[in-house]
Amino acid sequence: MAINVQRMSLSRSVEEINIIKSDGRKEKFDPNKIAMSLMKIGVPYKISARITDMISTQVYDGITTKQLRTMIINALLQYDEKFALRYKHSHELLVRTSRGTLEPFDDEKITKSLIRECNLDRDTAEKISKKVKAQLRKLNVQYLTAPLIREVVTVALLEEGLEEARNRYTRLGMPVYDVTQLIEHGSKENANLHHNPETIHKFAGDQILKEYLLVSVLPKHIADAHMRGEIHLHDVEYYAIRPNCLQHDLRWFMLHGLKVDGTGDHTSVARAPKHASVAALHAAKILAASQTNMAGGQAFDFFNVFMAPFLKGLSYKEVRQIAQMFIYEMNQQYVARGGQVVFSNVGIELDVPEFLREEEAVGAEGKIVGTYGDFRDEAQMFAHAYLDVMLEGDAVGKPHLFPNTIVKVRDRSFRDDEQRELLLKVHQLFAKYGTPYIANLIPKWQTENANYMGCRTRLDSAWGEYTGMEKPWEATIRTGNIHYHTLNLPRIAYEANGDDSRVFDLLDERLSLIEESMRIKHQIIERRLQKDGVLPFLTQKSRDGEIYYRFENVTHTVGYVGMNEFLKYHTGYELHEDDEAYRFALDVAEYIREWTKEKQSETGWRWSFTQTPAESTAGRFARLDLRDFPKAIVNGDPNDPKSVYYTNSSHIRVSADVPLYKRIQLESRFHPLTNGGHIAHIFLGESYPDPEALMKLTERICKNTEVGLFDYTRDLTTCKNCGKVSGGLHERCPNCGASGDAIEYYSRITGYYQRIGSGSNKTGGWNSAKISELKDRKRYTV
Amino acid sequence: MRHLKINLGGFVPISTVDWSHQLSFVIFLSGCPFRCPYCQNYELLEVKELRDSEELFRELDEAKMFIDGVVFSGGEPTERIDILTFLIEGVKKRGLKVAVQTNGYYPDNLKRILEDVDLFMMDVKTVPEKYDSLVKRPDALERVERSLEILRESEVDVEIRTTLFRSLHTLEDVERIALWVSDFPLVLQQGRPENAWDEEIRKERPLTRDEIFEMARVAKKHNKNIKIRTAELGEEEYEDHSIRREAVLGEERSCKSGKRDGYSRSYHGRCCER
Repeated sequence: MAINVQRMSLSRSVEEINIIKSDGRKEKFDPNKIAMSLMKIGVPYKISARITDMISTQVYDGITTKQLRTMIINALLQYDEKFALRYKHSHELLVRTSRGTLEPFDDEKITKSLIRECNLDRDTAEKISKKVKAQLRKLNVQYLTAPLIREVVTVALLEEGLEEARNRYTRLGMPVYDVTQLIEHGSKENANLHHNPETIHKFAGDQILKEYLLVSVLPKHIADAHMRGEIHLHDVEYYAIRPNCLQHDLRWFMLHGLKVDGTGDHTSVARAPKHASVAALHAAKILAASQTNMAGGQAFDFFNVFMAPFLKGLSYKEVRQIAQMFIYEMNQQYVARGGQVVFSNVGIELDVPEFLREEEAVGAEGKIVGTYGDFRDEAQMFAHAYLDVMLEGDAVGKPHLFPNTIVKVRDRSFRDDEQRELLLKVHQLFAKYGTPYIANLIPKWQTENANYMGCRTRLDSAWGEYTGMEKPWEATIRTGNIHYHTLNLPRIAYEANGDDSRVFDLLDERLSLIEESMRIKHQIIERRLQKDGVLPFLTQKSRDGEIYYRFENVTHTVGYVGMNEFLKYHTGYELHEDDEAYRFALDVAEYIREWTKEKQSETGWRWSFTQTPAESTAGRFARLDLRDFPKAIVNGDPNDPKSVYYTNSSHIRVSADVPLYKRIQLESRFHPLTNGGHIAHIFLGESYPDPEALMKLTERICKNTEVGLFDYTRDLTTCKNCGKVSGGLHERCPNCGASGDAIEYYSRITGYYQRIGSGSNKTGGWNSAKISELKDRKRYTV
Repeated sequence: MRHLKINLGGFVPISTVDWSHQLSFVIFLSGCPFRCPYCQNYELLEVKELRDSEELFRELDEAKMFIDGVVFSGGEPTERIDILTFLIEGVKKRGLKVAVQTNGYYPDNLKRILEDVDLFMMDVKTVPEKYDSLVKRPDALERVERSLEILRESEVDVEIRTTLFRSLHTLEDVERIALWVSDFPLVLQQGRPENAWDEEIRKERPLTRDEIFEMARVAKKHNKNIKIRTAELGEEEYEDHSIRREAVLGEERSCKSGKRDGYSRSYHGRCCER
């Protein structure tokens, strides 16, 4: 609708009248605008014209918009209070608050928040908020919301060149579209996370904390190096809050009882366990409770030894029941970190290790009941029971995926009949499900104690010796890895372009980034533990006031991905193709190990060098490199970026046609160098291996190679229809011929066993790069 | 050391399944007189190329530390007996044990290596009257009989194997095979149709472990030493009580028997109650 103001009887010319706007600009008075704004809120034409007329007689040059508005409101009041109020609201910015109320917009609030959050001076802050106010006025929105205002402020900050301030002021979160996708389709980043409401919440929360880290915690150059894929900061969603993993000491809780919240303020407090079954249930709950404070694996070293005093006098059947209870708890407490089971690990000793034989044994109600050497029989019986339950599988014949079972082989293990009997059972488990791990403590380079988790984190007693602990083996428990950082080795090769010394320069550069990040992580966790008190399970105290978590022993871990592709680009040969090239790879590994030793003496902290598990990193690095370096050497199909991946750590390319023994030998020489963890996977072919023969192989690997940790991985097809498990990946169940929904596939992803997917439900399974690797794996028909 | 051009069809550096409880290096020698429709190594039926024996021994030397012995498979390894004796000699020199898988078509060649072989694994593919037509060789049965006779009279360890298929072997066939070789240990193997040479067989469903157990039950009447081998649970010794002895259900039964094997639930020889 257009109004012809010319037809109104204006009493005088308004040509020279200027209005001063809120941002100081001048604008010519235009009676049309007043008439329009009045009619827009429903004032009848006649009245609008009359008021416009009246105002036009009253305005003067230099009047402010605010004064003009007051004038109009007063004029309207003479006709109808209702119109006056409506006009007032239409010209006032209203903000809908998160409390659900409507409040007038106040630019002073922006000014104050800019000063508080971004450390801007008042003048700059005011300038920004004035500008924002003007921009908001122009927007034709019904209500303003706090997030919308914040978006406009961040743009204003950028326009003023205040990028740093913008980073501090911005909101974190997810686009609406992504949230919908997440809810409807889930995420595939972690094979342990299935698609359910808990994981949806977890991923949504993760997103905020990831962005928080990159925007607010880390200096830009480190965040950028991570984003570019030069280095990888693992578990970024947990970086700012949680340390990574922990090897527990079950004895502590057998002495002091259990407070799952760490304080006992919020949950029931349990006394020291009296019965074996309660001890086992406590064990399960310890891992779950601790998982709420930590990002990664939760483990019990010496599990069967520390359980042993509780088992005195029990029948095998009773002991088995206790083991079964524990194992089901670990596979069915579907609650940790957003609806997952706990990432649990158990170290099984085939005999009571020498250094534990004289240690006081903690029994019922926290009483000392002798020494662990007195409980050899019970420790072995518990190991038998545990393995028998694992061998049985679940009610439908699927493998129990947790805990990761680490069987520790020591000097006498192959000579002692009782230990051999246990080992045979371990190999029956390998033959059936492929799920356990062998930790080989026989090689000379190993220390008195070393423990591993399924994700391969290794802790040894060398640190205890280095720091002069009275019992060096205690340096392997009540502590863990604080954080993993990973080097993208192939990227270094592309950048060095064949120049050896450039390789080491680039290594130094990337390592110093990692060091910087590690120092930040260390300080953050120290603060979270000591000041913020957000890790109460870890900081719980004994009766004597001793803190459970030995922060002083945590290790700072550097890992690597793609040694094979690095070498191929740099020397033209893969790890298994040329001796000289292979030695260069060892040099590189040695160089990084030496660097961690330097850092250890500089910082006084424990540092270690590891073969990164790289569940998603192997794919991420390869994807990013393929984009930025056309010559990048990746596995998988380069035309399908989702499928590309690098070979983990210094493993031989999974598809390489290398005899098994050669692969083991080549990989094993990296194990003594990687004190923070390592693994050799032996991918088994389709047949059902003979446990006794397999055990011979284990014996020969343990005695003749430097391998520290290894496993036999079988690909499994399980059938829900007939409950049979078959070796290999089959489209139809080899037993009953069922297909589709009835079939599920399992294999070891990087350390631990996971469901790959099935005909019907592919979520919660492996990511594309890992599926691509699975297809390439060379199986040995062991 | 002497070199020889050999009919090497391939090798598996470490195997746990080709020789019971042993780690073996498996050598496949090409060329075979039989044309069994379910053959899984049909690419090795003809000798296509000869390779230098050095190549093979180099691999064997690297694997030596990990293995117990060598299994010669094929094809039919005894067909080129000159090559086989040469290779066996090389293996023996390395202190390794020797096993030979054979179809028994060359009885005279078997005789020549009897002394140097620790285990013969001989195929008995079907009942006598179906033999020649199954393997498509007119004199197969007669020669197989002679080979069995030679092995019977020797001191060497022997294991007879029958690979079973739904369309080829009836329960009665298995019973008669067991009777035929009642003085030898017999292994009933689950055939894998998906790898068969013949396309019709490829389409059929494999016999299930339960079905093979039933065959073993019948075979047991005539042969006290029966094993079965399946993809599901590998090699298992057949005992009368073991028909339902499965990992999932087996506890009570195997405990009562007091037996301690793969799936017993005993502990240090003691059954459930200490």
